This record gives sequence, C-alpha cells and structure tokens, in this order.
Amino acid sequence: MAHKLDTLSGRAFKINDLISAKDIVSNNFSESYHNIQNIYPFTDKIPDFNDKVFSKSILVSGDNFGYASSRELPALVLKKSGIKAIIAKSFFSGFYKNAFNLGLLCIQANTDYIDDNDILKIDIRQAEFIQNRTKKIGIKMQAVKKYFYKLYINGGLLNKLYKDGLIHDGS
Amino acid sequence: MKGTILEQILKRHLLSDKINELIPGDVIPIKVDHLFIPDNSVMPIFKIMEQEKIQAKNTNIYLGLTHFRYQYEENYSSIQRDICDLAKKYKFKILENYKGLWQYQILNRGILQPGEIFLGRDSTVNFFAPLNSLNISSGIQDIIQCIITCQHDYIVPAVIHVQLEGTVPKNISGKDISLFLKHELFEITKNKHCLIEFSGSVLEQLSPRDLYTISQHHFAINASAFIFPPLKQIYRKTQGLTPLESPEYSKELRFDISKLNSLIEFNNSIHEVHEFNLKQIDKVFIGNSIGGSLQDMKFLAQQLENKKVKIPCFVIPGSSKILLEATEKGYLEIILKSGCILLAPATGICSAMNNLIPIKNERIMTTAINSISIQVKHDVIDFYTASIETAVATALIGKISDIGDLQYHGT
Repeated sequence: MAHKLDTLSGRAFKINDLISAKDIVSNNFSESYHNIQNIYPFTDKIPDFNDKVFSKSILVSGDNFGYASSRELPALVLKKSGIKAIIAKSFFSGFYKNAFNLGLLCIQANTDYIDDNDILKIDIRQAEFIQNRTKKIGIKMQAVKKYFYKLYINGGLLNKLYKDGLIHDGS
Repeated sequence: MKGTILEQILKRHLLSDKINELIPGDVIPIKVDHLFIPDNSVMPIFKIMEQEKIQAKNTNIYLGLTHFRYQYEENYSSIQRDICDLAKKYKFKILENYKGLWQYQILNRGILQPGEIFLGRDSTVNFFAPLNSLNISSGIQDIIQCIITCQHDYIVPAVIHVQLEGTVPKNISGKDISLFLKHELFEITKNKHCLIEFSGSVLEQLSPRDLYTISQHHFAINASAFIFPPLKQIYRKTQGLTPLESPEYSKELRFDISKLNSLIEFNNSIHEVHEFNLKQIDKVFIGNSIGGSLQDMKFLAQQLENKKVKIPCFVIPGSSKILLEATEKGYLEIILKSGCILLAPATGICSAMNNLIPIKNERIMTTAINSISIQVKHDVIDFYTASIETAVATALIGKISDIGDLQYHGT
C-alpha cells in the first residue's frame, strides 16, 4: 500500500563530495547531544548554510557522504535544518544507518546529473529513477532496502520500536 | 564471506533462523554481548528511558564516566549529578575515567572474549580489534534498541583481507602502519561498506600498543571495523577464531612493509616524513587516546631525558591514572624538565578539553587519529599527524624530523 512519504519533491542543494561527519558537525559541538537546539550543520565549511538551504530540502553530494564517525549528531542536525532527503553517490554506512534511524531518507544515485537548485522528485517505492524536473531527465537510483524503507516510513527506529510495542507510547 | 572470522562471529550471534547466507548489504538481527555508552551520549538515552519507563534487558551495559564532558554547559553540575544517579538506578556498570582509559578497564577486567560482539556509542570501540572480537560503533538510537532488546540490526559488510608481511623496520610504529594502510586502502574502501580482516607475519611482531593504535584507525581507512586473528601477545591461553579453510573475501591484498619509512599525514594525504624534512612547525601535541598511554609516557621520557624541546610541545596523558603512574615512575619529571607543557588528561578532542584553539596560520603536528581530531574552527591551519616518534623528534629539532634525524642534530 502506498504511503504518504513514498513521494518526495524539493529543490537540490549541491555540495562537494567526500563530506565527513566532522564537516557536518565540527568537533567543538560533537559532545553536545543535549544542546541540539544550538547546533547547525556545516558551521565551518559552509557558514551560511542555513541561508543557502532556505527553500531547498534535498541535499546532494558525491562519494562517501558522512564518513569517519558513527555519531548520529550529523544526521540529526541535517534533519533539524529542514533537509528531507540526501542523495549521494555513496554513503558511509554509519551515517546511512543513523540517518534512517532518525527517519531521514538517503538515496544512492549518480549525482553528476544534478545541479544546485534543480527541482527533483523521488518516488521511493514505484520508480527506479529520480526525476530531475529542471533538466527533464530520469536518474537511476539504487532501491531502498525493505528494512530501511520501514524505518523511513515509521519516522525512525524509536517510532518503529513504539509500533512494535517495545516502548509504550508513540508520541 | 564464507569461512571468514566475521562470518563465524555473526553466525554465533544470529537472532533469526531464517537467514542461511550472509550477504553484504543485508541487515541482520544479532545478539550483542556487551554495550558501552560514554557519558557525553547517555543523557538522551536516560531521558527516553525515564519518559517511557524502559527497563534494561541487557545487563552488560558499561558507562564511561569522565566527569568533565559538560564542563562548559551552564547546568553542568546538575547534568553530572543526574548521570550518576540514573546510572545507579539502571544498574549501568560505571567505568570511572580516573581509574584509567575505559578501554583499558575493559581489557584489564577481561570483560571481552574472542568471538564476542561489543556495541558502543563511541567511534573508538574498534580499539578492541586485537581481542578477536567484532566491535561495532553506533548512534544512540541503536543503543536504545539494544538496551531494550539486546539486539542490534547489523548491516553485513564486505570482508576485505589484508595480509601484512615482512619485517617491521626499526622506529616504525603502529601509527606509521596505520598511515600506510590509509594511503593504500582509502580509494579501495571509500565507496564500500567493508570490514578488514588482517593476517600475516607482521602482526606477531607488533606490540599490543601498536596493535591498539592500528585498531583505532579503522574509520580513517573507511572500514566499519577491523578484526585480527588471535595473537599470542594479546592472548596467552585463550583460543580464538581463525578463518576456516579457503575463506571467501570480497578482496584480498598483500603488503610487504619491510621497507616502510616514517610517514606523515598532511591535509588528508600521506607522505614520507623526509618529504617535509625541516619544514617549520609551530606546536606539537602528543597524547589523547593515541600517544597518551603509560608506555607512551615512558617512551617520551626515554627520548627527552637531558634534552630540551625547541618548540611548544603539549603532552596530554590519556587519563588521571596514567598521569599518576607517569609521575610515580619519574617519567613526568623528565618530560617537564625537557620543557614540555602538561595538559589536563583527556582523550579525543584533547585541545578542546583544555580550551586550546589553534591560531590562524599555525602549523600543528599531532599524534591524534586524524587531522581533525583537534578542535578546529577554521580551515586555515596546517595540520600534520604522525607517530609519537616523529612528533618527539620534531619537538626536539624544532622542524619536521624523523626520529633517526636526532643523531645528526646533536640532540
């Protein structure tokens, strides 16, 4: 059955490849899980990230996105900043799992065919392609595995545990 | 991955009888033997446990307590008190930092056995790779799931086999071998979810200190974890897991390190130290989880005795216990007499703990895991990472140097 989160549209915000977890959240913040309200992504690398990402909801990058840490803070601050999905040529597995654990969608595809500001549409279940509506092309994407799809439509691992009855309340 | 050490460990821990074959990329439910949480990550976990009245099913939960993670927060004292109270309430086993690095407390108590699975909310859990165990770093959501269910949903990695052969050259340490592996493997591993299993004659020649140093570089090499075979310098009696006959790896690589020279990392690229010979350095940082052990303090004292450093050299013992032991054994006195500056014991972002932020255009050398392990607020600093041998030689000569250069500089 189709889910309302199966389809996602948005404008691309394209950044470099080889983005490490510490590029997303610099070390001076890496210890502050409890202080999440005051943490923003890319404070060192893209100081005006919040202004630039305004009205854009799909982050586009290249190889090995989020490498070099297992912390989930990078995925958390990206989600908090309004990013709904990340498309990259490849992901570091730790980041990939943390992102889905938080209900943040990660799609693997060749991002050479996406430029900054392109309008994209992703149909997770039906399509094998990301629609680049600006360029009027389809970009082949790797299917999201069932396990991760379930995490995504449940809004993350904790909500899934709620639904499985392992935690009492689904709030 | 048939016959690999990883396959054997995973099959012992599988929580589903429907899985016959382990395929890279698949997600499988596995039982976790031990769980570690550092205090900097535990509050969101306690918050959820309190809200939802969660009882821990997992009884092997260890909490690393440093007491200084929140020192710059306004409500530091109440956070710290809550952590201690809730740890007692939920019966977490506390590993106090003043008793030594948490990793060494796990080692010394013999908690982790060959073939077991250790899950931790800390990137350094792969420290335990020489124990012939599987060590998994994860985010706090996975930790909460594991507290409630003892289960972890594990993404099966591709297994790469790296065979290290030859004779380890004099003055070549675990850090040099780690940098060599990063240089050789990063392009191979960068788009792969992989784990590296090591073998070869080099492993038997390395000290535990060198093995633990290599272990902590798995993320730098882009691998989810390393696994070593059982080694006699780690286990004298315990029998561990070795690969079965004709194991199937996704890739097999063999390196001879007999001619390896001292290496240095600069801006994420690896070079031989002599390529940068006598280049100016402003400050040297020796310590944190690599370079901050008691053996490291001993090595430093041996090198610095009756000598003076020529540039500011900051020494950071890994824990208060190491500092105390280094003091008792006389290492600290020699280190301080040489002109080194002692910083508060810390691991990880050692300079951040000491509120030391590099100045614009500074050239800094560190023994840390990678060039961004020291707190950096801008990209205009030249960062070099190297072995403790290279770092101490650089501090004594005042410019980038190999330890072998000391004899030519009258130091």
